[in-house]
Amino acid sequence: MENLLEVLLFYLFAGVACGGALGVALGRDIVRCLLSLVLTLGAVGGLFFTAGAALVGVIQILLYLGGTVVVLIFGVMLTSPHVQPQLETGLKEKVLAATVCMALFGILMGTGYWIFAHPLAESGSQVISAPAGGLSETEAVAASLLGLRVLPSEETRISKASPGFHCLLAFEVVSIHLLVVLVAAAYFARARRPRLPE
Amino acid sequence: MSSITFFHYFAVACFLFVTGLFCILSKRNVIAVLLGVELVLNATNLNLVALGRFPGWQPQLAHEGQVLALFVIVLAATEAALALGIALCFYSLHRAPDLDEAQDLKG
Amino acid sequence: MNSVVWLLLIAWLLPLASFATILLGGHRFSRLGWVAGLLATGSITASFLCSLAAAATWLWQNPPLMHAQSDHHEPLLNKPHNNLSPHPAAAEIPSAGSMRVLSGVDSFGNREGYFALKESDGRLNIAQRGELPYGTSRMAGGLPSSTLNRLNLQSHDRSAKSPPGAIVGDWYTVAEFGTLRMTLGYYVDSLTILMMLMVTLVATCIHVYSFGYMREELQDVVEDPEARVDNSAQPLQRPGRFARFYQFLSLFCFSMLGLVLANNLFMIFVFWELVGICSFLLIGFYLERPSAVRAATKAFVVNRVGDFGMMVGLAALWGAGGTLAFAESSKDPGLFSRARTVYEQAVTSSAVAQEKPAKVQEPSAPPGPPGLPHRLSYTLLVLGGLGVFCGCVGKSAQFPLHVWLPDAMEGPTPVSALIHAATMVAAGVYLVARFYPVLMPEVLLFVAMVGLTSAVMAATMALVAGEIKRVLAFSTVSQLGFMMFALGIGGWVAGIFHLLTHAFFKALLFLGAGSVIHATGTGEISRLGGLCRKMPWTAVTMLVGCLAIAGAGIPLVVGLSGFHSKDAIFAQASLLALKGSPVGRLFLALAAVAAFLTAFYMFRLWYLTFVGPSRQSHLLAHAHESPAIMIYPLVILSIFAVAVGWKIPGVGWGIPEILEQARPGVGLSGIMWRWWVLPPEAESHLPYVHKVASWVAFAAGVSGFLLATMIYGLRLLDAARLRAACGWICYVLERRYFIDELYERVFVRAALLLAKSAAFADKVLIDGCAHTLARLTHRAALAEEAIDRRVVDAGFNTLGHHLFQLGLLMRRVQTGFLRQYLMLALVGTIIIFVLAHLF
Repeated sequence: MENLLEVLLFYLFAGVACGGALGVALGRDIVRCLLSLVLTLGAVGGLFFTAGAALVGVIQILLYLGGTVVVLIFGVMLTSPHVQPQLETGLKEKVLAATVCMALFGILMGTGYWIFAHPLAESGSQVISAPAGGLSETEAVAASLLGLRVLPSEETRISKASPGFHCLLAFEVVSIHLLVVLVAAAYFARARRPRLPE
Repeated sequence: MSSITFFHYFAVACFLFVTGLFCILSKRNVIAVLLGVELVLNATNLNLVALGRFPGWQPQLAHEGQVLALFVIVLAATEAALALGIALCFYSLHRAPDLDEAQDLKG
Repeated sequence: MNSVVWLLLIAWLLPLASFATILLGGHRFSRLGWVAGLLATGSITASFLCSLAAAATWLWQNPPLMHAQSDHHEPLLNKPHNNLSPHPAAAEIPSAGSMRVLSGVDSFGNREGYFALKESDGRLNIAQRGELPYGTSRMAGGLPSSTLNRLNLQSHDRSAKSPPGAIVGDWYTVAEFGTLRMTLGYYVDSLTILMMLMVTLVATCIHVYSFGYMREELQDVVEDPEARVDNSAQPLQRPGRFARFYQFLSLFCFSMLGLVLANNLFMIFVFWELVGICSFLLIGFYLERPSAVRAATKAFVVNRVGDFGMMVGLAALWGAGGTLAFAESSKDPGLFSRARTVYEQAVTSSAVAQEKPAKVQEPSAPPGPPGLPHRLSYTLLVLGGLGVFCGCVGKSAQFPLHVWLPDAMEGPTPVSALIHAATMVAAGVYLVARFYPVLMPEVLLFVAMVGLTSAVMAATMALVAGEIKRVLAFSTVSQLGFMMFALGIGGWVAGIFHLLTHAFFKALLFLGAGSVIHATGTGEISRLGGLCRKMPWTAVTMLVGCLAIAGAGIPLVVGLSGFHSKDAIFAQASLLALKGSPVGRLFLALAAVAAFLTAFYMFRLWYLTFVGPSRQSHLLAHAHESPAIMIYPLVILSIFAVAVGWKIPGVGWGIPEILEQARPGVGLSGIMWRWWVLPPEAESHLPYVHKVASWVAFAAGVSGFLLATMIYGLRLLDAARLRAACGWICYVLERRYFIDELYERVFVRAALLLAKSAAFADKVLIDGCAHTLARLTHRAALAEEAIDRRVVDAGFNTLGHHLFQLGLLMRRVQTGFLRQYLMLALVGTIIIFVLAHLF
């Protein structure tokens, strides 16, 4: 039963995501593409939820749908203030791009299949829905950020921090980086009156 | 398909990835390219998260995927803001968000 | 050096100084030509005075024997010699050592005897003479004996005074090649003295005469009617060349005197060529006249032909004999003694072979320092003598090289007088005389034949000559032939004597002709006549000259100079004839014919020019006597023409006696065949010989004179009808026996053909090769340029172009489309995936 729900949810979200992606790809108007993207991002967030990564799913919805998309909407508004003729690429190009993309898709799928058809991959079917040791998933992520690894064993002890993956500092750096970038973007996007077209 | 395996997530991620690539490749509007980029990043995120769910032969890396996905989301936001700034510059320079106008690299 | 030699040296170099001064003076003399003339005349007069002083000194030191004192009109049979035992001691043959014994047929009626010869003063004298039974020598070999009859007539003077030897020395050594030496030196004996005197005196007279004759050259502009330029009617106008004339005359005098003084063949040859060049320059003096230029070239070329033979002879003598000098000196033995040695060896070996055929005498070692080549043999001596004589034939215009002398009359008359009558052409005769000791009897026979042929031939050609100077030219050839004939038959003194007298009267005749030409403007006899009224002095002096050349005089007593010298020649010829050889008789007859013809044509000339009606009266009307300056030399020369054959009053000797001092002593006479016997000249003075000679000469001369008088003087016979009667003979004579045409066809055309083929080869073949080579090189250069342009450049250009195109092609990848870049990246990724999967 749970399995069925999981599968159904998965397929639902996957379908919406793919449909939304196709809508982005094939949309004629930029706004339509944007809205399709919104749909896609939401679906992907849903996929995150079904994959058990609640934190990431929430962050996805928060940041992406609330931030990035808004930014994109503002971009659209700023760059296309008037109704403009559609910017279409030639059919030839689209066909070529589609061909290449499908080839890449085929290659990726083939590679993935070949990897995961390996007996070694069998063990990959192990599903870990909750980490052992009694920690919730979010706690486990936070522990990982600090460099603590939670081993999925019967032991409930938190192992020592394993060297190699202290990413909290990196996270901080990335935050500052984000700030800098925002400043730069604001600078780039400042209004230059004499240069703007009428 | 009795259960969802990693491969399902992987397939979806690949589809999203390829579609985003298609958007990048076949759109003339700058913002549309950015949409494509978002799609690609999301595909990557999905993959990472899926790997976090189905770690395979490295079970101790189970949550690393999510951590990495967080990073990617942050960086994607960063990059989106910056890319928008560039797009606005581009727009102000060429008066149209047409990527085909960016011919300066023409040799 | 001796004072005589010093004087002669000064006399020789004075004309050279005059020549150099005028030469270096250059254009300054073109306005002051008379200064140059004075300079030249002064120098030659001073030269004459020096020669005179030298002659006086010589004769004072070496007075010649008087004619009566020498015994050479007696056979030597009964006259004892100094240092000798009396004759005869037939059984006693002196031993060898300083004496050499010869036996053979002598010249007195085929008696056989022997001669013992003693050597003293470089000459062989008869020490003893004896008789052998008749037929001794003939029994020896049965062959005609070729022993020699040698008599030397110098030292039979009882006063035991030996004849003066020659003063020989070298002034300057030009070059030395090991033992071969080329020097400038002197050989002074009485022959030299007399020649110097004659040359300088005649030259002085002619220098003075030329002042008058060449007066028109003093002008700035001279008109020459005979040189037409561009076929215009205007005669050519040119500047006067008075100074140049005297310059050449001075050079000539210097050259001639050098030739006379020379003591070796090298110096002779140098001055030989120098006189040849002077002759060329002076014949072509009127150089705008093409006839003059042709004549000058002809003279030089014909002389060159003779000189070629001379060089062959010189080479033979120098190569085999080792020396070119005449007389002995400390350094080399000289040609004379060499020739004597060879001669004696030939004689001795043949004589001894006759008597004792078993005994062979070794040739003695040649004199002179060791190392000198002594390959001189009799044959080479003959060859050398013939070669040198070849040069003399050319220079003295003997047959067959006589063709240049008649044409050489294109030069001014003083030139003809000096060069082509008195001096230069006499140089050939002089050389024969000087070279006498080296000329073997075979050569002398050849000399005599050539001389006699020339004498007769030229005399015949002079019969029909129509111009004064032509007649005189042929006469010169004829008289030179006489001299050569005399030398060839053994009459050494006779030949030289005739040379000296001929110089005077021939110069006189030429100057008189010049006077006529100067007065009337022409020398054509057909336009002259009756000039003796208008030009008495010229007429009289020319008459003297004609008489002299004809040999006028009272036989056996006295006569003009030509009489005495011709007498001497005839004496020797009669001696030869009287000895019984038929060749000698033939020679005498021919000589008489030549003498007859001489008298005839000379008086023909005189009568036609001076006597009778004038053929062109306006010429006679305008004729006038020449100025005094031209008359004085005529008078002086006529005095000499009359008196030079006489003995000097008070001392009893004259030219022949002076010449006797210089008589060469070796090879003088020889017997080659039974019919060719060279008698000693002394015997020509025997009374019975002398009588024959005198009367023959007189008869020949008088008959010629009478015939001429009859035809041209008194006009008893019509000259025109005579001429018509022997028409073809006259035609042949007028065309000079067609010898000129023969030479033209045989030699000149061959030479021209050779020249033309050489020119053809050069122009067509060699130039063709050069042009073809140039053209090929040009084409090769063009082809190479084409290759360079089309292949190399094109290659590089194409390469560059294609590289550029490739670059352009590759540039198209950079489209500037960002999407395309991304696409390419993706495609690359796919490809990598595929490749990784496949491999």
